[in-house]
Amino acid sequence: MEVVDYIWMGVLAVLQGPTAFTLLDIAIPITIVMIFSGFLLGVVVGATPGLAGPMAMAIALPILISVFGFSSDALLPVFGFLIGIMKGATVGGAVPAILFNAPGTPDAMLTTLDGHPMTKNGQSGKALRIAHFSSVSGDMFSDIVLFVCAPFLAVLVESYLDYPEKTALILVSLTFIASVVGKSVAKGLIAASLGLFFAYIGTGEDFTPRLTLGISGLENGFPITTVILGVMILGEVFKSIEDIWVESSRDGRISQMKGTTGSLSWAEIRQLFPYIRNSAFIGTAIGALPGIGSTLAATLGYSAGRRRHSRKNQPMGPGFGDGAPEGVASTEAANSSVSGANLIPVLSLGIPGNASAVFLILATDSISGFNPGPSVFKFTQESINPELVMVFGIFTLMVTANILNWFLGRHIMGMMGVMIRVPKQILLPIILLLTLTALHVQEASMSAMGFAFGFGLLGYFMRRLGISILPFIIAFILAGSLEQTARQAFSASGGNAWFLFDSPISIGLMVIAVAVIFLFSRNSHQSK
Amino acid sequence: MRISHDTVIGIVCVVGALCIGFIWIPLDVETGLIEKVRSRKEIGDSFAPAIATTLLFVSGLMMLMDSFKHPPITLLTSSNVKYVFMMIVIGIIAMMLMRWVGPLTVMLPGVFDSSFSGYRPLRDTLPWKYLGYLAGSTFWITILICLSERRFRWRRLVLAFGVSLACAMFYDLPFDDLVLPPNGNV
Repeated sequence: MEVVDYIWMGVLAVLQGPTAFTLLDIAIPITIVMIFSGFLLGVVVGATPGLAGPMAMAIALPILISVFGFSSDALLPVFGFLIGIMKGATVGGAVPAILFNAPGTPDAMLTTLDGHPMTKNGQSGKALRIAHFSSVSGDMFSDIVLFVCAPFLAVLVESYLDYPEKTALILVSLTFIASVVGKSVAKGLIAASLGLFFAYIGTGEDFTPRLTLGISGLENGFPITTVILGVMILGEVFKSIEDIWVESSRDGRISQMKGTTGSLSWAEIRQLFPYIRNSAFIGTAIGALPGIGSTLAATLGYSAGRRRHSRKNQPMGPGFGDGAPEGVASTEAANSSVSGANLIPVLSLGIPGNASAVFLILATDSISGFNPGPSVFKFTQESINPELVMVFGIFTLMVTANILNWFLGRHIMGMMGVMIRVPKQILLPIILLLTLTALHVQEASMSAMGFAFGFGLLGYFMRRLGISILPFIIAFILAGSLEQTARQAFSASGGNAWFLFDSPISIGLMVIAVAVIFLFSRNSHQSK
Repeated sequence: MRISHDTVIGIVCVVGALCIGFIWIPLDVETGLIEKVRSRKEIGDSFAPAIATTLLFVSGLMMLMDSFKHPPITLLTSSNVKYVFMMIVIGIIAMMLMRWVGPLTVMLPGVFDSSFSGYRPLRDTLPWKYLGYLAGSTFWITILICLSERRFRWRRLVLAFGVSLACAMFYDLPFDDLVLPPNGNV
């Protein structure tokens, strides 16, 4: 089996899967239908202030598993839908940001700075087109980097890293995420340590489950979906409802948009290209690092764009912040180029880098036959490595989603202005109900709902106390692998307690972990 | 003297880590940090929680030291605590309604004859399987919307019932193997 054979098999796994329906005698594969449906839902969710891609992914996952089952055949349709949501939500977030000065997603915050002034100037149509074009361009660049880098990184990891180094690598990832997310390194580390600790309750290798306090309901540990949906979704719902409760006296009238006309000429595209290119590089580099979200990418992309704009000193057009098309392009290209690169640590290391990637890992946790990590990239010559075929299938899903985005995204975005009118105070309780119902559907137990409610309160407190939830969630997910690799490394080293300092690579990784904490602690002090 | 909430977080983490490390882990985990199994040394079940607890202790200390370098900050107010208390009460009532409205309704006199053997055989039949879910979720959604709007409106109750019914049908009608709350383990 050559590399080309694997690529071709991955493409065929998507295109020759089960048929959903026939259109003009052409069989439409179910996976393509799922990508399209996910993309559509993603744009709707992204365009609705108060909703985010991960919320839709959380509610959709149990239904997808129920429809497609747990076998490996389910992977591509389920991933298709989730990737569709991920990509759709990114472009959708720009719609309310441009039309109503209300970002649909946090990373679209900077899009409001120039997008909404363009709307006020009667150029909302052009602003939407620029956002769409920049978003798709950045996303495509990021996907190409993913296709090239993920296999190399995985092969590198598999060739050079043994159990001690893999343990050290997980520790580096955790410390990195804890240090870069949020404003305080100490709070990030608190979140990570709590995530690890909760994951160790009710697990272990002994016959008696550990840390259960004698409560029988804890003997199997906390279900992963309960913890993630609780902290991530319910915590956000509780916080947002309180925000509305506090601000309910404020006048919430929606501003009316002016004219939606405006097209994008080739000359304008050429003018925007350097901004899109620079932001795509920034977003991809940021996305490849676990834990750094698209909001930072958008901020850095916007700053780089503003510097370039002032350097070039284009007197004819508006400046950044006053409705510069380059501002919209810089932001949207940067935040969209994060999504593809975010899958580099997911596929090559099995380490989720952001909230959306967490749900992709959860999907692989439920569906058998695909375990993200370096081993999926084994290019076997004699026999077929089914996981590698799946990887190329996933790459095909991403390309297909991009093609859909190119041709349909702009039209769908244009129709989404209406989503701003959905009242948040009605939407949030419905999200709460859907999330808890989805949990019960998956776990078939009322106690799972109770646990999720409890973790929702924990998520609420973490948000209020300025403790980022991402290190908690990623630590909870990686806790099992961390303990397993540490056990194996300890056994393989013949019971050497210093196994993490046995090889130059693991020593190097541990030094990086300490250096990251030190460096970011110092930076956070300076920024305060 | 006003104490910064960051200081409180640091103290809670340090004290919590000490309690977990010296009381909870030793009393509630069967194996130690390192175990000897058939003359081979292996990591015991206490090892990973101990590492997590050490990290919590260290990060708590870092938080404490950080907090002394900055002016006191307030992160949680009494209004936040009041809100959380309300959320807990509302959540408990809603989940109790979900859990018990179905079983209690079928036990009402005159609903079934004396040969009736409880809610369990009815949990997959209409309308019984929807009762608890509709009662609990209608209550939950209505109260949360009214709380946000700071007033009660009957049409919100109707809306909440409609949404709950739609949600029940969304999960129940197309999927035979999915069960609505509380029918998974009653």
